[in-house]
Amino acid sequence: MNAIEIKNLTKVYIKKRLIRNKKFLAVDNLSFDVAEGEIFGFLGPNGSGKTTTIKTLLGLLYPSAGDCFILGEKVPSLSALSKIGYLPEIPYLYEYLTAKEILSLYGSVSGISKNILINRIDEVLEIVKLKTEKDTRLGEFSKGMLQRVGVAQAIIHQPQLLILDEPFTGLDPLGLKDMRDIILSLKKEGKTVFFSSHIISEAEKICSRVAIIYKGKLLRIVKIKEIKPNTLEDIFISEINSRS
Amino acid sequence: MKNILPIVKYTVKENIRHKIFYVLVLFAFAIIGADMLFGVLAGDEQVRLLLDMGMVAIELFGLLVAIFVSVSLIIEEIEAKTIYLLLSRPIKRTEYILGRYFGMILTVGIGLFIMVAVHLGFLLTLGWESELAYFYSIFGILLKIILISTVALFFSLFSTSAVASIVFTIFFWILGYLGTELKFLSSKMGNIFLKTVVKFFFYVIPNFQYLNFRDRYENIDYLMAVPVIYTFVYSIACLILCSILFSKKEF
Repeated sequence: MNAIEIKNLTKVYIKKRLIRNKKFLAVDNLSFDVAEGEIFGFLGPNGSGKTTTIKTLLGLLYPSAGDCFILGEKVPSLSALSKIGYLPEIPYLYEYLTAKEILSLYGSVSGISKNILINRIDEVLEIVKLKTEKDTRLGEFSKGMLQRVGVAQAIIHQPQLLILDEPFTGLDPLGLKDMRDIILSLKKEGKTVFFSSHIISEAEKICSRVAIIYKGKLLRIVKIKEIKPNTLEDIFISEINSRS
Repeated sequence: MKNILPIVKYTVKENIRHKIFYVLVLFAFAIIGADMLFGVLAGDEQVRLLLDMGMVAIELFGLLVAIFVSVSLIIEEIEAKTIYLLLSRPIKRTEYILGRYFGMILTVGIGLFIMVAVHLGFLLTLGWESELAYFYSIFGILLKIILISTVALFFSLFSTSAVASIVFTIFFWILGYLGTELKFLSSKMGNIFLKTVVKFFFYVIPNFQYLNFRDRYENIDYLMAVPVIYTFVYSIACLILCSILFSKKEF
């Protein structure tokens, strides 16, 4: 079974105006699969439709046409959502809550029982190296610390599939390494990781396959094993240039 | 429905830690304090004045806090995008709306309780003998807060602007006290279109006169079934509409 199946996905945004509605085609007949247990990179320049695709997988947007499946279940589906851990591009978190409180909230709405949740919060805070700051309000956290809380909330319920939107953006070299290590350890645990990015070098280091998307269309799927090392960026640029 | 409780909890925490909540409650205390000052000038009527003005202040600030908190309840979450992380969890959108709504009612209820405790403290210090009518009047204020909160929540989902939602809610709030006048006006109107519009507003706008026990303090009808059922039915109808609107929303 595939972790993600996207079949002919199309998303048109309609901006309502008084006289004539304005339409914008964000995703155009997109189809691809992500196998269970793989790290899959979803690459494209800004505005190419990566976040729209991710939001559709999460049920935050409804497709204009086509279907998406998560671990065999058609989305939107609550059962599918219980198997997903999602990290948005910027960790949008409640600044009035402490790290512990926010993880308790996301853990309980993900169906973790109270007894298990207490230990699980400590475990994930340990993983993201924030155990000593667990009672600090998020409003006092730095950007890097917020990103780590974002990771913690994504893995708190031990999901089978991780969907990460631009996880490397804005991280310093140490943060980049930490994020890479977390993704690789998740793969070791048998999880599937699907992430969007425009940082090609990071994708090449950890992915088994990447999809290149531009203006909502899938240009190419690249198997990292089948290309020469450090050539993904050239492939990406030539693919984009050929369609510009 | 098990997901409602965690959402209620974080909504209460979030609202109580929000500065606007403290500012409004402190402002209400200041008004009650000012009433005490006027009460000194009123001589023998000091207790009466403190009782009346205090209840007006409690109602006014209770409703203002309810309107501001309800309107910002969802709009702020959408603007700050914090809603992404909750709705990408296995929770129904109706559960989210109900959790946020009950959390907000609980927060405003806590604010109301604090204001009433302070007001009662002042009254009892001045030798006022407690009356059942006082507690019924406060209960009426709580029912009004519940009604106006659902209206504010509905408008906040209907429009994308917080200001527009607040203006619409305040418009409904004012008209809510003019139910009898609207009915009278519609009966006197010759123009069918205007008559229909006024009648429409009469039926759609929450009728606060059912809950205005404060104005009938000396002569309260202690049968609470009609006001409670009215508040319950109106709020459920509003919440169903909120749920339908929210289920179609994209983020």
